[in-house]
Amino acid sequence: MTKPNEHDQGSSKKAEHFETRISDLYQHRKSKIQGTASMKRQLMQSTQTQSSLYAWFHNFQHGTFAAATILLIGLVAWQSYEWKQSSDTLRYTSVEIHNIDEQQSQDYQHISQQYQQHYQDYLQQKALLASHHQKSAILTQFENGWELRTCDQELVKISKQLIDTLEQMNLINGNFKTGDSVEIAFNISGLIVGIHPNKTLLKC
Amino acid sequence: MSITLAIKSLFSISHSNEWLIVRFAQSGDKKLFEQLYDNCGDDLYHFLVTQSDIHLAKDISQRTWLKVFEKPHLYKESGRFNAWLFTVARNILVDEFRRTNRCESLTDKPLEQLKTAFDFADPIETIFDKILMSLPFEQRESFCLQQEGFGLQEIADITGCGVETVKSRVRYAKNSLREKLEKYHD
Repeated sequence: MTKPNEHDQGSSKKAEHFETRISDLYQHRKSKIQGTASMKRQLMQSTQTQSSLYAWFHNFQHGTFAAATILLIGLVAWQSYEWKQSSDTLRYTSVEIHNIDEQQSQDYQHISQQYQQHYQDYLQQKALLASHHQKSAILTQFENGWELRTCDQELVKISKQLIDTLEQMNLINGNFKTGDSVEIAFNISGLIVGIHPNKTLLKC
Repeated sequence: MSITLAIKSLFSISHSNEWLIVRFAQSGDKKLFEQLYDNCGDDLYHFLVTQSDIHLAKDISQRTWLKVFEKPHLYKESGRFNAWLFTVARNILVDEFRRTNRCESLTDKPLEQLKTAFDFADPIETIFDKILMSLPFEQRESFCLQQEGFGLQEIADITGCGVETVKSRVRYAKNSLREKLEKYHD
């Protein structure tokens, strides 16, 4: 009967022996299975292709990067130049617009003033015309209101009430009878503001 | 001739894979990449053959090395280059399995075609190969990675699982190997 210690030592030695044995067998197997020279050649050829392709791509990448950088710098420079230019132009334009605005304003004021002046003149002249506007006519009927016939063959009919009103306001001077020549005064609105005897006989 | 080689090897400075990949990422010098391939190419290829088949292993190996060539900057200087290389390769392999609906290869069950019975008249190396290939994918993977010199944590990182899981997978793989090899021995 073997002692336990001896047994352990024996099994340990056996295990070591086994490890060495399988290791040797493994190495023996490895020595039989090795890569061939053609495999290496093929790989190196592939790397050659890859290498040239990589070198081309690398160069292309560098070229592209350089071109892109130059383009970017160019764009930035152009953009900044454009921005500078455009800002200057804008300032100039602003001044121009300001001048135009002022001119327009002056013109407008000038036109407005002229218009106001002309309008005042027109009103003045109209008032003057109205105040002096008189028409000569011949009184043709007397009893139920007056009928005044002008040389232009215009017939102005004046009601009895209006004649009474005008008489009350002392706007009809004198005693009239049919066939008398009269002066009819109109106001701005064309209303009769007075009927006066015409000293000169109206001849149409 | 041998004297020349001896002198050459005496003066040649051997750099670590980590130094090589960092320098390669910086300079893109193909010689550094070639040196990396010479250092790790066979290990990776053997691992891939063990996990798939010769044709797929060649393809995956090629794609892995091309990825290393294209994106060496993805290597994190904190870890070993080999661990990163095997991680990249394993991810490509698993993606390929998923793409070609070979997900059964990833399960714990051994592939039917690999469960071929071995002849006891075969040399032990052949039997070892057959036993190894009959192991489930994940056990075989963990065992191979350990034999490649990776620690449990590194294997866990490469395979994307926990350390305890890796430990038990390695143990199961070794037990299977031991059991079957002992049968052969007997």
